[in-house]
Amino acid sequence: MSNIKNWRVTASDNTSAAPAGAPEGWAPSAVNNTIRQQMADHRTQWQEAPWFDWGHVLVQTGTQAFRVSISNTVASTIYTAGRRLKMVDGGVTIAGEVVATSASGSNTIVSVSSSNLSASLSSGSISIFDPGSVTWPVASKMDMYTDTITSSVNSAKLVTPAALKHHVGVAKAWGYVAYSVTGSNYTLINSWNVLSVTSTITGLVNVYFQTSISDSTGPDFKPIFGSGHGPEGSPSPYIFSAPGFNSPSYFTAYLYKPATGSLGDSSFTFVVYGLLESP
Amino acid sequence: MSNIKNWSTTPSNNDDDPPHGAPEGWAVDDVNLVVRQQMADHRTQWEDAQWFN
Repeated sequence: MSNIKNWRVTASDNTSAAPAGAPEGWAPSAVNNTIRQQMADHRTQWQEAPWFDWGHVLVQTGTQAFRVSISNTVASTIYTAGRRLKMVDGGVTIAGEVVATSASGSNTIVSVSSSNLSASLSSGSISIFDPGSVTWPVASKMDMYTDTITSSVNSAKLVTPAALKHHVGVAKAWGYVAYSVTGSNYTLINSWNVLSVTSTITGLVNVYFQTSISDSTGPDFKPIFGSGHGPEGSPSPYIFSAPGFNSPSYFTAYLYKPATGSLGDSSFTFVVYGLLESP
Repeated sequence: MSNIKNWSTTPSNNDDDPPHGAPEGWAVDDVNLVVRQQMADHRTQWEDAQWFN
């Protein structure tokens, strides 16, 4: 850990005995020692540059909180919500982020996302990046969509895969369902967000979703597309039709023989659009 | 705001009067002032490390 945590922003306060400071009347022979120490301190700090130890003593007050002996007026500008922390708790480093600060007399209580702080908590470093800053130099977790997104997207924000799956332009389910003449059944070969497929009537296959999908974007919005391939082993084009969702949890695929227009069992692929009903 | 904004990447150009530089022939009793000022400048910069002026 760099000793810069002990340096002061007021030049005249940096008067610790050499090599930790530059006091009045110091011996000429101490100057090189202070300069060497500072070279080491700078090197140490740069080796852990994403983090900075402000020199605060962290006193555990709960499994998710500690106290620092500075006012909340000051602390709230340092321990901003969402700012990452790397706390030293005995021999363990605990990662987390700031949730909030609150005044406690002349001190400040900092609540954090970590839930396993102990009485051995002693110090910590803070991310140099402050997500509370109005204009942040790089996109932060705070600038990501982590929950549901639909059609509205702020181009300045990053999108996590968990959020992207909700966008209206992204497929909500797809699959390849094989029909075997030998086995006389349907098998889900490859898919996303499909729980199972069942068929009790020739040419009609129910496709059940893992996460329900709504076509609430409009009564005429039936975003199910697919194609029939004929039974496995003897592929031939079949007509695929799916007029809409039977319920948010499944739809029925209709497969027609092109020559006769009658229902017939066939392998098929499909893709579904709409809105996932829950994250 | 840290005074590092006034420092030069060319060592010989960092010759402002103490405590903001180390000119040729500077007084011995200015050395500690320069060192203290630089400690303060570095600390100030690290406290605002996501930005550099």
